[in-house]
Amino acid sequence: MDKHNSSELLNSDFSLSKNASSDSLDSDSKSSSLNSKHGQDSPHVVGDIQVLDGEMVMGSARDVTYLCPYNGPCRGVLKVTNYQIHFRPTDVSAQQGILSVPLGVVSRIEKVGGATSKGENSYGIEVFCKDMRNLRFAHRQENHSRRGIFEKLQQLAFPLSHRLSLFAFSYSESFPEEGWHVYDPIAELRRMGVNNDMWHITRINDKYEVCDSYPAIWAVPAAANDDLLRAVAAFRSRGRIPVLSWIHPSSQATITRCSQPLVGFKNLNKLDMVYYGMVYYGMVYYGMVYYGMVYYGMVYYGMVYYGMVYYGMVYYGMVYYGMVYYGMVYYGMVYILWHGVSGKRSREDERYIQLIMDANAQAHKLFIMDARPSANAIANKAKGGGYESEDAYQNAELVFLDIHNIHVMRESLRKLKELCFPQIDQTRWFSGIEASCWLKHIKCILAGAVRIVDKVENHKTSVLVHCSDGWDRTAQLTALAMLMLDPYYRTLRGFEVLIEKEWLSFGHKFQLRIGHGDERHSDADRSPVFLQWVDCVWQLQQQFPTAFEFNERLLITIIDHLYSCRFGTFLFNTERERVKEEVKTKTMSLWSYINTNQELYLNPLYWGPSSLNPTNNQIPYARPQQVLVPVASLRLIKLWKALYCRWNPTMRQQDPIYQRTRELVALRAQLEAAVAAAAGEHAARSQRLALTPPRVSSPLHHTLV
Amino acid sequence: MSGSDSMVKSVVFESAGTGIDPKRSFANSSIDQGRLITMALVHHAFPKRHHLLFAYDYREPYYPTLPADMNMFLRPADWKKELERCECPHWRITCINGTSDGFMPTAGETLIVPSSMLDYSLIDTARLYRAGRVPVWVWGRPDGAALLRSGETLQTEASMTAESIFLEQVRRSHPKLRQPRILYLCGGQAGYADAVTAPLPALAALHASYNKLLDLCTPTTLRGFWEQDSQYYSILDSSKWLRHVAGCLALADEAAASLDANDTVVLVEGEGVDYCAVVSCLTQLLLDPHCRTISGFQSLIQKEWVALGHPFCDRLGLLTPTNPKDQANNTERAPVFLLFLDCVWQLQNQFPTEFQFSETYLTTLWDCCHNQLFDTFIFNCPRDRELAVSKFLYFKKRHYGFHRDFTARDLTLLTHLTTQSVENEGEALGNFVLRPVWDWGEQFSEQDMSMFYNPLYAGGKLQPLSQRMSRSSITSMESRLERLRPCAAPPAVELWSQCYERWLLPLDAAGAGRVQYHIYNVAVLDQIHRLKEKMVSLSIMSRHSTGEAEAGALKRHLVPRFYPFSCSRAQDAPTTLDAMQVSLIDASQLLDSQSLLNAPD
Repeated sequence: MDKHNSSELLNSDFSLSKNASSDSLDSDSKSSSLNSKHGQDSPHVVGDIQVLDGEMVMGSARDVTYLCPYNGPCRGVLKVTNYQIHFRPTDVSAQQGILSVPLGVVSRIEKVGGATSKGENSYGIEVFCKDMRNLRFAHRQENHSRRGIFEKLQQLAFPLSHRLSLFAFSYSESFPEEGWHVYDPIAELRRMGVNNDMWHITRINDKYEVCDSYPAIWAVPAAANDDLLRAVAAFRSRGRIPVLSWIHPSSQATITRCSQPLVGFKNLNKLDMVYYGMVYYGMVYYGMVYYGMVYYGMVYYGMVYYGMVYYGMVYYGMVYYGMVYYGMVYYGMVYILWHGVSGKRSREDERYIQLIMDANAQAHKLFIMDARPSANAIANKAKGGGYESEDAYQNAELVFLDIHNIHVMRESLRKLKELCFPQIDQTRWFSGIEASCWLKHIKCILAGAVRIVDKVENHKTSVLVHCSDGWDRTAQLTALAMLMLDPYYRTLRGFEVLIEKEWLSFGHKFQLRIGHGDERHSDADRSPVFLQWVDCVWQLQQQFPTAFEFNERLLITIIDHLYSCRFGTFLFNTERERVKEEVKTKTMSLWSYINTNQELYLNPLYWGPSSLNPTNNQIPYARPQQVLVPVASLRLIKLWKALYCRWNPTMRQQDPIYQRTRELVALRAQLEAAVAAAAGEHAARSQRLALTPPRVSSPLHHTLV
Repeated sequence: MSGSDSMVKSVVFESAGTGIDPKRSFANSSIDQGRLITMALVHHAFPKRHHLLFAYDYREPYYPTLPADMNMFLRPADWKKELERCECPHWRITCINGTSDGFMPTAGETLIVPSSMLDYSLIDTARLYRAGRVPVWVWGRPDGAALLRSGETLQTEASMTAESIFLEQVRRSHPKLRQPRILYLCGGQAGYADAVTAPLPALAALHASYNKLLDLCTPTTLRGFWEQDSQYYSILDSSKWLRHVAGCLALADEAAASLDANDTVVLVEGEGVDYCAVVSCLTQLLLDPHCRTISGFQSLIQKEWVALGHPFCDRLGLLTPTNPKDQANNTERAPVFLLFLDCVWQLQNQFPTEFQFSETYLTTLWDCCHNQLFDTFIFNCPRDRELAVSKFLYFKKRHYGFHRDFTARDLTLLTHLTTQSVENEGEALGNFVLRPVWDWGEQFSEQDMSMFYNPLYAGGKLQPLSQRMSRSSITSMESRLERLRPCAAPPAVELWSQCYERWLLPLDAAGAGRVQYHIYNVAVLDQIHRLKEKMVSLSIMSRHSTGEAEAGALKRHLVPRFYPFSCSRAQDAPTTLDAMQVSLIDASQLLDSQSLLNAPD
């Protein structure tokens, strides 16, 4: 950043410091919805800090310097509540610089420097966040001034690791809208026309006994009885059998989802064992090397001195072993493919798949979309998993969609964060985007969803989607394909239903992937799978700006509260756990919050029927575009700067279009009302004129009355 | 035949840049036909002399209908008008460049210089500048700061002194006598440049950069398309085009910031006809809302590009050198004007409500640079244009006894010609009419032209609601000079999709793209308009029973992404998916070397 820019920075409003004014209607998406409570809800002021219902100040530290990467150091008071980290500058003129970060976004807290470190601001705390930023606070070096606040932070940011409960259970605000009622599985299935001849609702999983990560209510082929379902569950990884996600209103082609079949290998001889062992252990070790690198990379990030040497040594060692392991995997794989050993079969599973195919009279084929790259799918055989062989499943065609696993995605996002925060490396911008591969992964997911849409819409063929466990990539694909196929999901309510259904009820492991309140920041189960899906939705929004009822701000708000732990929506892994923990009664739903202020999240350019007042059919909007087919080309897939670069105040947003359109739409509404009023008056008058006997009084007289 | 094959290839490639569908080839036609078409194409697409350009052949009569508030900068009076518009009293008009003492051969007859600068000292000083390009005034603010553009000085002792004397005159033209700020845009004087943010490339480098971009945007096969796609960002980066765009924006922002602080700015570059024009125009767009209207923008181009002599003919490569070797190392050719339009598009992208014209307008303007029908973009300098007109008049006089007395200026020009050459070109010149491109009605229907207007433009009669409510009319003068502050960092600069990618069929989709903003807002504006009319009719003709049509539904027609340019299939045809889209995504490319097969799931 050059000199000239830095002077501008001081003037420009700083997005970290959103307060009431910047959260008004017309600032679209950049604002952080995390702090929007100041603008929307009834704020409670405790001292100089605005708190939510159920929020308490738990600790504070004076004389702290916040080292803002953009505006420079700033002195003030740091407070910790059970919900947020709050920093207020002592300098009154810098009130813009109030910082309020929910503890839920904290991924890791570290001490920087020691009591004897030299240099200004070298002693303090660094907070690493899940939302693509790091916060650095400097403390005075006397009296262990950081100790108290550090311990408080540790405890409050990671309540689950300290046997405390999450903030969502203390939060008690009442909203006029009840978000827990947004999604009713029966109503949603009925909307799609289930029960019908071919599909019916089953409550076999009412007690979550058949599959503990699935919802209580399933839609399955009507011809399948409970025994068959149980038998299929035994053959599918974690009992996640194929159930209905979406059904085409006219062609009855369906999207169903499940986990991988437990194919594995049968009759292994000694040599086979060796090779499978090679593949499996090769992959495991490779993975370890890889995680090791990531871990060390993170630990030594920022420690330039001897860390470099160490990092380098680790690095080369790892490259070497990585190559060895890669070789093992490779030769093992060649052997397996060469010998083509078949795995186990399940007649019940095959029959069940046939039933799904038969439920669609239009096609004699079923596409099984395996979201993984074929190599990963093969490797899974070593663990007893695998994929459907086309020999065993008649009329089924298997397609691999080449979407990588959660570890690759996590690493990709880490690289992206390095590129976007704190400073954007201007010379390496494009090469950095390319090297992160993030957009390529987005492209793969979009392309996969487009393939599903193509099969369902254009070929009227049913599609079965799975990956390994059927809760990460599968959810991404089915939810995205449904969004493209069904305009209902592109409305605000429909989108909430979509998330509730495809992500929450089908058991995407939010707790594991996000790690709410858990201090194990390098846990291998963490991954930005849901974030990636929201990015895909944003890409769709970008490509079809008039097709969505909601705007970018909704997506950013959802991402913010994915981490914030203020609402119960994204807590826990499965529906079963949520029922057990009584989430619906003990916490608030994010949708309550959003639907209470829904005008903030509406897209003024939306060209279709509103979900908010479905009875109001008089608005002469045209039929919405039914199917969106995005182009999965990097020429069109853009980096979501409003999300990934949003802490950087120099990144400008394209708000004016929305603002201006909103103004025009408001003007239109004003005029419509005025015209309606004038027309009504006019009609009343002419009616009176018509009724009035001409001789008794003049029209003029009447108008005066 | 092989020779002509390669020629065909070059024809195809050439046309790609100018907007003809590059997918056509001669694979299916017979050999003779191919040759015939090739010959015709070569003849008309690669004219070797200026008088072979289509503008000389075009026989349609021309009736000028330019908007009244457009300034063509042809006569001294036009410049006077501009001086008055900018309220700059400390500068004077000199017409000396139009006389036999002219020192700046590539500029028009009118120049604006400091009032205190005498003509004879101008002539003296001009000898020390490249191409005689002394600093000339192009824009100013009422409070004194002015924008000047200039060529580099020759590297001699005398020129240093002359330059400082000239700059002293410039300083005195500022009412507060402030030292002018000098911005070196490009070239060898970086030695004493004070703050060059991002030096702009030499013309040859710019041309090479454009060619790389062109390659990226004109894949010849679907396979090529997806192959490029897999490494899109590195190809884009290696073209450096967006960096050059960002560089121009940064320089313009810097110049605008100085002018905003009431400092005079002098832009300096080689011969002062290329990047000077780009940066100077952008600076004015940032500062002067008038330039952001359509007629203001057209006046701006007339002033900076046409009147001050940007060599369009050379830069666009309108004439093909007879010797193919020259063609290869033609250093004059460079898409400077496109670079400018791209920068304007970036500004539009960042400030969507500030411009009266739309991106379709800019794209169309770029297309018009190549149709060789209008005089605006086919000459190297105003003098060439005058020469062409004079030749035509001379010819008419000789052959038809055309009654018009030559001015002294015409005669001066004609003395440079031998009679012979006029005779040769006479036939071609027989119909030559100056036909500015700005008469859009010559090319487009009303409906087409409606695409040129930005429905989001707030500077016109429709003020933003919030502004109308909060601001009183007194502050309107202040807001007139409120400058735009663009973000010139590379991440903020995007590829101008409509211009470069509009012929890429795989990218097209109904209901997609930026054009939807346009269509939607036009529809809303239309409704507002009709509602207003209805209000009026309701209030005036309150006695009449209303039998009129309703204010109207939002008529939606689904337009494709690159509307109005796309050559796409029927709109409602179901989009079948080519398997290419997915099958070519090579899984191995998704993985960096470290992460391959890292773990079973």
